[in-house]
Amino acid sequence: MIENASHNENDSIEVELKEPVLAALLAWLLPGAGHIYQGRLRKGALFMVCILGTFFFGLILGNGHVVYAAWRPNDYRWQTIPQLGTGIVAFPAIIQNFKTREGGEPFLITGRRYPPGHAKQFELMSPDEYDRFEGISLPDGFMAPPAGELYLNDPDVLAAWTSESRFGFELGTLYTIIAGLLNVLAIYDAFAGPVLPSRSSGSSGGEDPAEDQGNEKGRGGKNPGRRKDDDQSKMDSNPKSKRKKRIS
Amino acid sequence: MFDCPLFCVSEFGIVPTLFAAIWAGRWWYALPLIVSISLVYGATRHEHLVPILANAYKSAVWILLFMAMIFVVLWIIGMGL
Repeated sequence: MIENASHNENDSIEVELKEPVLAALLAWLLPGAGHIYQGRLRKGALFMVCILGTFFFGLILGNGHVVYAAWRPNDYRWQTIPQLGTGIVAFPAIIQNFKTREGGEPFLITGRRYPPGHAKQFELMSPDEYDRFEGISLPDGFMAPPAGELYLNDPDVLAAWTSESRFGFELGTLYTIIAGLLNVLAIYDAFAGPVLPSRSSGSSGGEDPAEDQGNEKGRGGKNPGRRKDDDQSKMDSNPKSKRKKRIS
Repeated sequence: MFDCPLFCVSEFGIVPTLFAAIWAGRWWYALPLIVSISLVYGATRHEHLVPILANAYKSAVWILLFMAMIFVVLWIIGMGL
C-alpha cells in the first residue's frame, strides 16, 4: 500500500499488485498474506487481525466445535463452505472429516463422551474413565464432526455441543461464517486492488469526505474532473497494467 | 440469568425477550462483528489508513442505525402479540 504506492505526476497512486493470482491465493490461504506479499503491509495486518480475530473469537464462543465438515443425514453442514473462505485455519475441518469418515478417531482429541445408552450419555467424561470406556466412548476432536449417529428428535453429540455452548454455538458459527465471507472481499482486494467510490455519483469531492483527506491530492486539485475511467484507459495502454492499479 | 434465546417469543411476547437480551448484555456480541465488518469493508474501498477508518466509521454507524431500525420494527410487531 503506502510503501509501494507512489504519487505520479497526476497525483494518483499506483498500487503494486505484483502477481494478482498468486496474491489472491495467498490471501485465501492466510488472510492478509496476499497484501503483505504485495508490500501493502498495513492493509495486510488489518485484514489479518480483523478476519482471524473474528474467526477465532467465533471458534472460542462455540467451544471449538463450530467449524467442522460433515455431509450426512441430519447434519448437512453447509456452513463449512463459507468458513473455508478463511483459508488454512479452517483446513483441519477437512482433514478431520477424512479421518473420521470411516469411523476413525480424529486427531487432537479434546475430550470423550459417554456412549449412548449410558446414564450419562453424551456427557463429557473425566480422563480417569477413558480406559473403562475404551472403544465405545465418543471422541470430541478439534474441528472434528460430532461422533456417533445424529438424530432429529433424540439426544446426540451435536445436541450436547449446542446445549453446552448455549447461544455461543450459533453465534460462533455466525462469526466464523462472516470471517470467511470477509476474506472473500480481502481476496478480491488482493487480486484487483481497492474498489474506489465512483466520483461521478457524488459532489466534487465525492460523497466521502475522507476521500479528500487520504485519496488524496488529485481529487480536488489539479484534475477535479478526472475520473477513474480515465485512469483505466491509461492502464489499458500500460504494458504493466496487469500488475499495477492506478488510483486517482 | 436469561435462558431464553434472543428472539424467542415468550408468553409475554417478543418485547420482554428483546429487552432481556439487551439487559443481559448479549448485544455486545454484535460490536466486534460490526467493527470487523466495517474495517474490512472500508479497506476494500480505500488504500490509505485515514480514508479506511473514516469509511469504517460511517459503515459502523449505518449498521447500528439499521439494527436499531430492525429493533423498533420487532418491538412494534411484538406489541401486537
